[in-house]
Amino acid sequence: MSTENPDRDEDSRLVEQIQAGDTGAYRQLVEKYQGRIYSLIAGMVRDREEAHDLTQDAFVKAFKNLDRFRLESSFYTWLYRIAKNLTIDWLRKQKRRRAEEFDEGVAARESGGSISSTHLKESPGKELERSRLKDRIFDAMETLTPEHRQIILLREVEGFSYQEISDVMGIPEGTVMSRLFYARRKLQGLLRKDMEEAV
Amino acid sequence: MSESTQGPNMDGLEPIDALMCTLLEGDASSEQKQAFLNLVQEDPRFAGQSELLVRLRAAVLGPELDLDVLQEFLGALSAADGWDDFVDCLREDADVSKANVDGELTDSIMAAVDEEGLRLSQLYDGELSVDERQALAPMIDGNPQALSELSSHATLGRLIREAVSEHTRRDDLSGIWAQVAPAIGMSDPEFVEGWEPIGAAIAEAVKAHGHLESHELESMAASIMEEVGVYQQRMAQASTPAKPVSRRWFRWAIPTFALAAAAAAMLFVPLIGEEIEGDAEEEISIEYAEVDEAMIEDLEFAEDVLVHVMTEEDGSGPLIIMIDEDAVAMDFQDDEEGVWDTGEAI
Repeated sequence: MSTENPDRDEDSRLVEQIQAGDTGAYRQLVEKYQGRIYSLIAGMVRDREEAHDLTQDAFVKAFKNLDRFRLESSFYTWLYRIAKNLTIDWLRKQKRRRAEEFDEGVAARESGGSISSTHLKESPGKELERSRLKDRIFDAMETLTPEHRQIILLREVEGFSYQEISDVMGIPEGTVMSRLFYARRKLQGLLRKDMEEAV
Repeated sequence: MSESTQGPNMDGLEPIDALMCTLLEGDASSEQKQAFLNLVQEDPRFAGQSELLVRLRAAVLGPELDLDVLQEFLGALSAADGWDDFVDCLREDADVSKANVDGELTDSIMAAVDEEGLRLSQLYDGELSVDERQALAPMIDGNPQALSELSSHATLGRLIREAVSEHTRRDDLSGIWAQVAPAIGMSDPEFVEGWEPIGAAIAEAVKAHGHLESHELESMAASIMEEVGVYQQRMAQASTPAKPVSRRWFRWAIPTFALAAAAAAMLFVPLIGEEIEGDAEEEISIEYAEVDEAMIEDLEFAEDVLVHVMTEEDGSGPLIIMIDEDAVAMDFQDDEEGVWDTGEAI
């Protein structure tokens, strides 16, 4: 990443303004990156409301820690790291909660109770098929660990290089490479039929 | 091998893999450890690797599992059927038990057993050097499997992008800042210095125009105020005009103009930077700009609403904001320093 990146210079200028007391300047950073951060979080957590809340939390946390941000760094990379940590924490809590709910569900079934089924919103034709395909892709993504899911989103949605992913996630490039490879293999196996149809 | 020797939840795994997972969970009994070592001893994949087997025995029977030995052992396993289940089992163990084994181990093993696949993945990502690409070329050339794999990566990437886009395309993010601002100590997120009266007037006008819910109203007011802020910045940046200002025609369909004019009549028009006295209650008057002296910026809002923000190009003229529910959004032409035109000439 070049130090002459105008985008980064602009971000640094805004951060300096904020650090100097112009809190309102933070709005520009929020609005500049909210779409990208939200898309990545929504790709991870699936639930839009939660993604919305996590996006807000990420921006609030970033603001509160802005004094730790180094101006020579990329603001987006730094922000994304905060969003990533919040999202992974959330996913881990969800996983624990889901496990408990599953146990409760099994207990209910065994004692004659019922487990609610998933509702599929019906809509006509193509819209429905697109929605189902999206669901299948998200289902497949959810079989990955949060770290693998993040890597594939950073690569395929954000178009980050291995080096950039390595910076954002704080892992070696070799790990990025092997995790991405594993994630692809796994998804290709799960989505084989959809991929054949897509071709 | 009995069920109790294999350990729990190991459906679909080879006995040797199932026992390995049990070992990683830290739940293996002495009997299971011994059964595992016996299977390894008999496995043809480890023939001639007596040194590894000695170290593996020490690692398995020792107080703590030696991960270096484990990795070496796993590397000696082939990527046979059922490998994915095994990898998932390892990963699950690492996550649940918080043991020292993590995803990197399984990933590096996967990569090691399919080096060709890994190279293709890197090639697809544009992460190979020229020399590496040249070295890979003979392998790809005339190899339908390799080409199919590259194509598969591209298809997968496209499907993921489309899924994420589909998932988020209708989401309205305009409320993010409104939620963030109070949390970071800003009392009024919509505050734009010098423009306080306008927000209230816009809200009143839009309300009178009808058809919008209160949350839509707030969101629209926020969008307009933001546009006003951007406009102010542009005016500040353009304080020294270096070239003649081109004439710019309003280009809307006539019915749209009629509606817009009606909407404009509901709004007040203070002079930018000069006439704002800060009192929303004060009497206001409407002034119209010459049509060829103004520029328009459009805010797309909700599904069928377009908001036009107009002012004279030199920044000294009136500001007119119009709500247009029937306009068809057209392609914007960014023909000069971010100034947008729309539509047809009238």
